[in-house]
Amino acid sequence: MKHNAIVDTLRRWILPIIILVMGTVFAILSPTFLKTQNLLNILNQTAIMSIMAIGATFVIVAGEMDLSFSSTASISAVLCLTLAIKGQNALLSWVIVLLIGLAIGFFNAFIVVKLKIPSMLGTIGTQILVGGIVAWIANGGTVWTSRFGTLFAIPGRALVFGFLPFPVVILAAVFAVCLVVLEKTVLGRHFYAVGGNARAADHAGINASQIKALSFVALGVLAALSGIVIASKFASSTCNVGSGYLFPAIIAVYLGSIFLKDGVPNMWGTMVACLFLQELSNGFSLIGLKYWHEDTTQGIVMILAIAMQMAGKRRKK
Amino acid sequence: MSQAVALELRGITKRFPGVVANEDIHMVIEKGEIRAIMGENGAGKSTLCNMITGLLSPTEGELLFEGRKREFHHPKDALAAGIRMVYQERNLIEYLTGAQSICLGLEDRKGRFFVDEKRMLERAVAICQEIGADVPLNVPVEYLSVAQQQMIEIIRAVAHDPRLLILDEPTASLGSAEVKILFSVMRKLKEKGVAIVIITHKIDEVFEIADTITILRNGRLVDTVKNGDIDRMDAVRMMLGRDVSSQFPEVVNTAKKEKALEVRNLTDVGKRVSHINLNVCQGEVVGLYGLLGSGRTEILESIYGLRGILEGEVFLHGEICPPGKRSGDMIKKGVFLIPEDRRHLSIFREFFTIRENLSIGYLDQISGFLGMISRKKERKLFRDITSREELRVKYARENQDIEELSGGNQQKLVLGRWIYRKNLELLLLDEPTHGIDVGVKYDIYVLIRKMAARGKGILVVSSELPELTGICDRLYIIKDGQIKGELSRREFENEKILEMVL
Ligand SMILES: Nc1ncnc2c1ncn2[C@@H]1O[C@H](COP(=O)(O)OP(=O)(O)OP(=O)(O)O)[C@@H](O)[C@H]1O
Ligand SMILES: [Mg+2]
Repeated sequence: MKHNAIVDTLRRWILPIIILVMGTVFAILSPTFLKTQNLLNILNQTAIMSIMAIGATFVIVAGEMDLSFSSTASISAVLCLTLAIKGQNALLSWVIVLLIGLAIGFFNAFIVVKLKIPSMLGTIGTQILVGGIVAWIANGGTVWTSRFGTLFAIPGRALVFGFLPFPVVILAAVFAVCLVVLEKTVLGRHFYAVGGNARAADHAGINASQIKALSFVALGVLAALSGIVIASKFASSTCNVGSGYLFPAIIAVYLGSIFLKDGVPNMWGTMVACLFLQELSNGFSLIGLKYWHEDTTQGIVMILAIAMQMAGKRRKK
Repeated sequence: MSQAVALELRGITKRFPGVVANEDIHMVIEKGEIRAIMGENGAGKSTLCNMITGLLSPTEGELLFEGRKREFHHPKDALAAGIRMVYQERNLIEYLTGAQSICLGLEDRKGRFFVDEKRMLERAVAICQEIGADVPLNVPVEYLSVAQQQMIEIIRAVAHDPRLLILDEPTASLGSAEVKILFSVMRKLKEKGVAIVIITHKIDEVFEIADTITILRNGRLVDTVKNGDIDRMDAVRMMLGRDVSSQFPEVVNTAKKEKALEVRNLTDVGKRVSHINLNVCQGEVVGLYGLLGSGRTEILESIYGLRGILEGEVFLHGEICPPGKRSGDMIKKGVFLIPEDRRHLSIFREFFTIRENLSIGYLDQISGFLGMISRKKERKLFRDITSREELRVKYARENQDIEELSGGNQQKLVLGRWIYRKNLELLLLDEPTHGIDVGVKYDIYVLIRKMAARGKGILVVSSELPELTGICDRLYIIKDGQIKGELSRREFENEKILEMVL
């Protein structure tokens, strides 16, 4: 029995353990890895994807799937840039794109909750639809500008206290709020109830449709927020800039579900998994490996981690 | 070893983390024998049977089937050996039809690869006719009632010539007509030499059908006796280790004039029930009795806002409920429904531990500023409620999965989710004692009467007429979605009531 408890704990902490082990290996192979600057880099690089992954956690916990947030991020980034080129006030453009994110969230909620289209399919529709609109705005290519105001540059480039990248600050704030909401409040408990058994949630007096809708809206807004950071950070954006973040963000949520809780998606897990994915890509490029090495390793680690998870569950028999 | 022995268990022990579910069980079951297994909730009955079919594997001990030592690692091994089981929790595949479910794994084929749907349906219809069961066979089972689904499970188990048949609380969600069918099937199989194991909490059923009775307590085998050698009192004493003097508490009329619930001329959108008029006074326990499928559950669901209303009104404490109300609004008003279909409508299998399964009913009472849940209060609440004298939920750890609890303990947890709410005014109970043992049943009846004495209104649906006549002040008889009659306690007579529902 003692032995089992230790194995269980190990299993639940396997992600941070892998992060430490890999960190040690990278540190040995590359002297720059452990430098403060590089560690801040990892955080900075993971911010955009993490914000999306945090939003996706709400949707997945509520028992649904959203494959459209990549397009939401794209439209947000492209619009920010287009408006900046037109000389619009950055603040106004942020409000506009956040509202657009909100609207896309409501649209997804509508097709899933009201039209009862399975979210996996319905949100692919949204992805393509919004993707079409972005391509139209961007004329099928890249939007970029070199003339932007100081305000515009803040979300992606400012350094707080002269060293802390602003995306990291945004991520920390988003994470803190979402962590508290999902893991500590009644509302968060309702998300889990709906995802666990929507009909039982309805019987327990929880409006399951409302909760599902809310999860899509939250993700819509957060995806738009990450688009703002993209625009500001790179000052350029292709019309499908968000698509590169889609699968890593979703993978992070599932990978994160093995952290602490046995297979239950959760905010801490998502965050730890995002850090893990970023560490992998940062470390690999430092020691001169290519992205395909990274992909292969990512795949292996993911399958192994989840296999451990399942083995743990089976053992209960 | 004699040819007549079907199953022998030698020293079977099963340990789960923190619990010994079975300890050193020895048992011999002969061909053509009907063996009842009795015991309180969590005594280890289901665990024992699940080990026979290979769903679980024993920690220690061995199993002999028809004289040969066997180790089943998977239910399919036991199936191949001729062992069939109806599990306590229904596990049909929702989108398959009745016929497809019955023939699952043994489909008729056209040629080598193609399923012959037509022949399968014919075969299923023939089986149903032979045993006299009347269930729809060509609609997906998710559209069937709980009882019809249960019948499909039973038919599936008996249809393929089992040599050992295990039934884990098969009658818990059946009406008396269906129970009769089941028992006649069991007798026929017995004639053919099939060994049968049945688990049930209904003592009368045991005395009616069993040849021998095995009693378990705390995972140990207390005794195996012949039917007829013990009476009801003995059985209860052996199961609980104490006496339960009577089946029902004394009923004292505490009904007030004020109505907790009044339903006027209610017809639901699907027209499953029509022109329903009923009321429940404060301090009164009212029963709804009718055959399965008569619309009892639908009445509760319409009252609770889970089912659209076409016509008619619902009043709570004299105030009309606006149409379009949701269960959440009802809960705010102190109205609670405990549904019959526990697996689908009550328990949270994924994401939630047993603690969260309970506290979901009390989140407003354990949360504070901005809806922040206090873990400390949540733990305290869980311990308080699960240790209540009348519930005594048996569990190993607070963060267990709910499916690791025995069936009866799951039901106790679900009851506990609502019945101690501070704002409770009206309780709608659909088969509240489903799967609960005799000892706890009595305590729950006492609790229901106590709530009535405190002025709460209670509306109970049950397929067990004795249960309703035992605890209710008044009874409505439902037939084909309509109220056929109303009886006050003085007028309760079983024959009269049965006449009205048929
Ligand atoms: N998978 C499991 N993991 C841990 N404990 C379990 C598991 N299954 C059963 N138990 C425990 O084993 C004990 C016996 O459970 P079992 O389901 O056999 O009881 P039962 O006699 O069938 O009760 P009931 O009448 O309520 O159905 C219980 O204490 C239960 O909590
Ligand atoms: Mg059981």
